[in-house]
Amino acid sequence: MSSIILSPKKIARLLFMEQVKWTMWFLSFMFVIYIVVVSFASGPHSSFIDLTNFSNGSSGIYMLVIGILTTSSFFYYYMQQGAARKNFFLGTIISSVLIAITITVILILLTFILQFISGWVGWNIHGQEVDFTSSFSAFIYIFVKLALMHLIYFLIGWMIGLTFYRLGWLYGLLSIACSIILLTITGILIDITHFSFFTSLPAFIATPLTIVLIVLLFGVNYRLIKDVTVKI
Amino acid sequence: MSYAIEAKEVSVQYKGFTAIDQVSFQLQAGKIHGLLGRNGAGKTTLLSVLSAFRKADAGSLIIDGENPFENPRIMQDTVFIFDQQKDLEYTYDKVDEMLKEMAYFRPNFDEAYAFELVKKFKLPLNKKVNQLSKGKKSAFQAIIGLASRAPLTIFDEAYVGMDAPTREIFYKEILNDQEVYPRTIIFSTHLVSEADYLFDEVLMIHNGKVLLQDTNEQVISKGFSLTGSLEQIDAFSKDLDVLNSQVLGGTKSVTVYGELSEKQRNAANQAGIEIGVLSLHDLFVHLTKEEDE
Repeated sequence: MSSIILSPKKIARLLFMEQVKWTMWFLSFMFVIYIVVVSFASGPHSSFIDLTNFSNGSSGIYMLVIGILTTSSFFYYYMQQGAARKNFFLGTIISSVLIAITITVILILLTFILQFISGWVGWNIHGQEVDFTSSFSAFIYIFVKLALMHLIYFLIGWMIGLTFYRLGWLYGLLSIACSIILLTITGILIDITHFSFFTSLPAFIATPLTIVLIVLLFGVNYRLIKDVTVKI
Repeated sequence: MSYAIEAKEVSVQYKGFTAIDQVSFQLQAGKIHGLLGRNGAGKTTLLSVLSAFRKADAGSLIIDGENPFENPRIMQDTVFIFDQQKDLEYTYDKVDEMLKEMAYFRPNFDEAYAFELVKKFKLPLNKKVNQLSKGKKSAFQAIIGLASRAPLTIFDEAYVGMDAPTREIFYKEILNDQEVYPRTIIFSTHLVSEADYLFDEVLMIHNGKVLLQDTNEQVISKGFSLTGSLEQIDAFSKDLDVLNSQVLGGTKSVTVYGELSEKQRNAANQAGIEIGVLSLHDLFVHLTKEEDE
């Protein structure tokens, strides 16, 4: 008996390798746009927000989009290669956690590098709402928040894509309406998203609720995928 | 390695419509099974269930001793090739890269054989898959299906766009490779007359139900035609299962499904009635004929 090739781990690796490529493209564009804007907008008398603040929002939307694309571009393909739905689900979860961490690490790393070289090129960069340079604990706090935000945005996108695939456009539109509510809740739980219009909650309430939201999205997506018909 | 299949009362429903209606059959391992049925008979739905692309609404399906749905082992060992012309429009990888990638997913994939087939089907290795012609796209899929050497290999009208000589190459390869590396092959087709020599066994479905299932020889032996004078044929065939009849002047020809006893054969010979054999194609056409056709 041959062992299972498309195990969750293997699917996670293949998905991650592909998504990292996409992410590099996204971040490169983000970086170039930031450099162009910052070189115009900042000078001795004016300062400009740092890269993490600048791309906050775009990076979330990027995660939402690759979440939506997961079903049409990857699920269908891996089913044809003989993967089981459950293994694909677990693989996607692993890869989405990894990609959420990766995109956060790269953004923060680039922000630090830009801070470092800004002195030479005469840019005046400051952190706006998201401050992670003042202390190590502030750094960890912001890092975790950003990574969780990226993950939640991906899971919401995945849910939208799956609903359209499984239940058609009517329920698909409903899932978009639902996702706007979820994004608002995320905005309350994680006070740094671009959806954070409302007063934020204290961390000891927000953190467990964030975990609950993530587990809930895992559950919804698993329900949607576990016996879905592969359309041919 | 090849897998046996046992379906018991399998049903699939779409909204208010029964596509597969309590279908039961057994497919022997290591054989080439022809799946015949008209448009909308439920062939693709049935194959979707066999390949675990779809869950059956009722009934039980056992492949190699286990339920195939969400079964990683069975799913890995099942290759389902269907008309993917539209999907391949968006495949921008080159032919050779795609074939090498397949080796990664399928445990029995034979890369050397795949490239041998590329030569036979005259596929350009450096071309991107989306740039291939319709027939070459089908050939590309056929190569994946053959070279995967999966214990359960399903071809659902996989020849779309192939010209007659290419289809011939495809059929020959199925026979040759199946002989060396036996596997269970299900071959669904409309083009019965040109592919009938492939089948060890035939499963005919009609309106979501099994019409007949038997070995190819048995099926063919059950169909014959009787030709003679109008009165003779009418008298002779009144107790037989007549599928079709044609009258031309004083001569009548009927298509009959069933078996003739030795006594009946002798009687026919004595009466000067001509007994002819029917092809699988004729049987398929007559057996699936609707009342109003």
